[in-house]
Amino acid sequence: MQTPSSAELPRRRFCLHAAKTGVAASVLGFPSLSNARARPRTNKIIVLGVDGMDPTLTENFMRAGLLPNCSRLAKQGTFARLGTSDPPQSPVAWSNFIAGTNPGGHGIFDFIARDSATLQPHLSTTKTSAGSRQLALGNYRIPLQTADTELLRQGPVLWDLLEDAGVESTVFRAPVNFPPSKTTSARTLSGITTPDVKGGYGEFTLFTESPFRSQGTVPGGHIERITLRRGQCETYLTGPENPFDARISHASIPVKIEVNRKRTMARVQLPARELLLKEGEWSSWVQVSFHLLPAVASVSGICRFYLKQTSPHLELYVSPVNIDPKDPAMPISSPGSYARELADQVGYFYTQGMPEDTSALSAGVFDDAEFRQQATFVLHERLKFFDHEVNRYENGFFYFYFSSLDLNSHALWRSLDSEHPMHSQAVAKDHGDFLPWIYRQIDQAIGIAIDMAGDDGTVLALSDHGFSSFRRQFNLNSWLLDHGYAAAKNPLDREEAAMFANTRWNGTRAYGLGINSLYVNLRGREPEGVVNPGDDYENLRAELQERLQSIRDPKTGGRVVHRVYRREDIYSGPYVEQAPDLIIGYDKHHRASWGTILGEYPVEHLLDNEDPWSGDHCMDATFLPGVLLSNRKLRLRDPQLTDLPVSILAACGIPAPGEMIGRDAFA
Amino acid sequence: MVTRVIRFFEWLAAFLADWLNPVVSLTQLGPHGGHWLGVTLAALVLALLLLLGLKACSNQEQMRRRKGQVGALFLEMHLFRHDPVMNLCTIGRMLKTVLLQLSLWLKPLACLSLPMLLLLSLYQNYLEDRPLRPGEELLVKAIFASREEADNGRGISLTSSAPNVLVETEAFHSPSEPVILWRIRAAAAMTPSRGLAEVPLRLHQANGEEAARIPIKIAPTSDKLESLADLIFVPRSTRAVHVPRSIEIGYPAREWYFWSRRFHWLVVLFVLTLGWMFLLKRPLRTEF
Repeated sequence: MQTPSSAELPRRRFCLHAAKTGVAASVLGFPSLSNARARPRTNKIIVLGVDGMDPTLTENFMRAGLLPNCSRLAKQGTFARLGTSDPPQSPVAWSNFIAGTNPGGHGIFDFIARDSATLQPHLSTTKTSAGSRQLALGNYRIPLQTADTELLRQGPVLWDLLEDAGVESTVFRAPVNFPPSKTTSARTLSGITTPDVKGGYGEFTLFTESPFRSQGTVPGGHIERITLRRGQCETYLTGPENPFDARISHASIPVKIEVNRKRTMARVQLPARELLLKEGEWSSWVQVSFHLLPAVASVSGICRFYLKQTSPHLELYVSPVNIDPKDPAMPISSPGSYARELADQVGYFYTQGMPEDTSALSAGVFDDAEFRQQATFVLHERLKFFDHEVNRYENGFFYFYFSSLDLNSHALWRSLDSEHPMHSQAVAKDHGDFLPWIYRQIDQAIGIAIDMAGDDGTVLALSDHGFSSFRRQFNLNSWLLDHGYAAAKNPLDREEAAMFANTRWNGTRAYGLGINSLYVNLRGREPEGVVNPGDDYENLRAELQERLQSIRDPKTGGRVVHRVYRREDIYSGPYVEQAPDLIIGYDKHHRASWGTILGEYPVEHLLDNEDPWSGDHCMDATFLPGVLLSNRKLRLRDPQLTDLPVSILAACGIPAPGEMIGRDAFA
Repeated sequence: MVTRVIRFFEWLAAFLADWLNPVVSLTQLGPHGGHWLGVTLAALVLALLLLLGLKACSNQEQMRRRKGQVGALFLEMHLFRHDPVMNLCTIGRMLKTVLLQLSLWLKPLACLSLPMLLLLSLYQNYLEDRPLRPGEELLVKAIFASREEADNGRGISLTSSAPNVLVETEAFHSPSEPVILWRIRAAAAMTPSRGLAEVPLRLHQANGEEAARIPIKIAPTSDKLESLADLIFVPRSTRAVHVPRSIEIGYPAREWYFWSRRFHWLVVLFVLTLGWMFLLKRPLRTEF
């Protein structure tokens, strides 16, 4: 790995380094102290973050001889179950790894959080504040303040501590790191939680002639009905919101589509690019530019086109428009040139945090084979970048993140679980080999990492959580409503209203928001709080704990909720007050329904999960440990995610800061 | 009319480029990222042309005098900054002087416009598009004079004479334009020894007669040759012997980035040319 020159370091940080090393050494006369801090004990640490790698599957595949490199690590050093976060959600778990604290120390408690002043849900990891001041010139609005996106993860940052101690750090697709810190001197590329150009987690577009699809927005996508006349049509690809023009809400680019059904081909004309696609073919990355204000402001993005079919109805899929790494509309790397350098040297790549398009699969836009094709492309792309980055690695801290196991396990767990409602012989036969194949690909990457680290380096392959089947979904808010803990404005219209639009707050004592979070409508904290702090609050929490833990699934006879935790029992640190009042650890195979997460009240409390999204990990943390593989022997019997940053710092001879709660895991 | 003029300049630039290709390609030589060296040298040539043209065609003495007058007026404004009436008069005089100075540019601009236009057309060939890299694809478009002619060309076919260039699709007949398209892909890198060679595609009519040979430029993987071959002229348009009227090759656009901001090549060239002009104005004793 190249040594970053001083020119690459932010000026302030460089001055700080100079001050620390130079002034302390020469003026105070402590050269040995200064040198000791700069000289790490080991300077080769490779960490592969494999999201969703399950220990049971890993163990089975190792036993079957499918993962020779994992077996090699297990024999030479460590294979262990790694204690995950509460709840075991990726943003929470990876934040535990980055900060070395539990959620009380970094402030990320769920995928979704709420603004306690308005109770509006928002993504827990970032907050975007649009500039409120603007100048109106006819139809145009000139913002006088720029919008600001802020990373909400708090606490220490592993790679910053390493960099401060002189250990070069490269972090590829760092989870929960969007936008990257402006002051870090590590090379980082944002990973999970990086949005597309529209600001969400990724929204595909499907242009379709089919009368069986209805126009409009579906979760994670948009369906645009088109009509071909003489084999052609003109339509628009919608881009980001346009804050400059009062007449239109979103910027868009014209798309002209021509079809030759006989030859099963289509021509797609964009303002600066033309494509010719055969049926079933994907285009390479296409750079598109959305003009917000003519000649003044535009947003650049990249997307891929997939010609699903030409007859009987044309269907053309467009991937979410990813942030262009060569001309990013929002910062996605530190330094800013890192993303462009990667794109120049290796090619365009998915910059959105969760690139496998599970939304298209759930919406029926992709069938399993098409999803698998897209997911395979993502994995190949990642492996190409891994190859590139690992080949220039020489020393320091190198972290590389793989999303493939997580998102593909979500989508295709049903191919392995014969009791899942969406399981079928066909799925098992056609796609039962896919997850094992991905495990083998990851195993090969681990093999490369072992070779690169050599005898003196440290290799860690770890996952943030394991996986379980998601067979039954629980409508927590419906249960609260029907048991008198919540009140609806219109009890007869429960299905339609989302985002708590149907909630009568002055009659609501508790509400579920996010996947594992339950909040009390507390007086003085919530705008229309009804529960008094003190005994009322404690009694309500105790009552909810008891009643939720006693719910039985009528279909299986088993428990729905394994355990409900009070926040102060599992969290410590300065951000505990921001945590949900209760954290729900669902029992195996159960999870919160999609509707309840954003404040809906469907009629049924428990129902089968009939979505292709069939595997999950948002259950009780005790069921879902991650994996820890290392070429070093483990000292602890119950390693936790929070132990790893402390162990990495210790391996470099750097003392862990006081906020970190972990222990040095290795002998 | 406008289209004809544009086509004439395109033809003229392509004609010049064919002749000057070896010379201009030399200006693109350099280490990794050599296209920046290329554009810097291109800007130097343009700056020299402008400075020498200005020196020859403009009244240099008067230009110098007008500049001196503007400087004096600035000083006057500074000295009498507390006197608004005086200031207004000075601003008026300054505007007049600037306009007079600009009028001195008219003659040299008239003299230089044609050579500048030709030079820019020539540069466009080098700075706007780049050759295909291994793995990349492009569209080859056969353009016909009319829909009837395009319909008559239904049996037309495109073949590649090299194994590393694949014609990936059948002919696509556009329902709205008199064009037929194919997609080709550089499946593998050119060997370094053939780094500068072209791969000819052959366009055959239905009766088997060869309608055109289309040279496709592909970059090699060799680092040493890449900077050169990546920057050689890529002819976007080729005239066919019979029908179709012409053939267009959609090469990838060359990208110009500075601090992660994308710029049009004309902006890059303009800024660098200005830089060179300021650097060389004293040695060449030219005022502007």
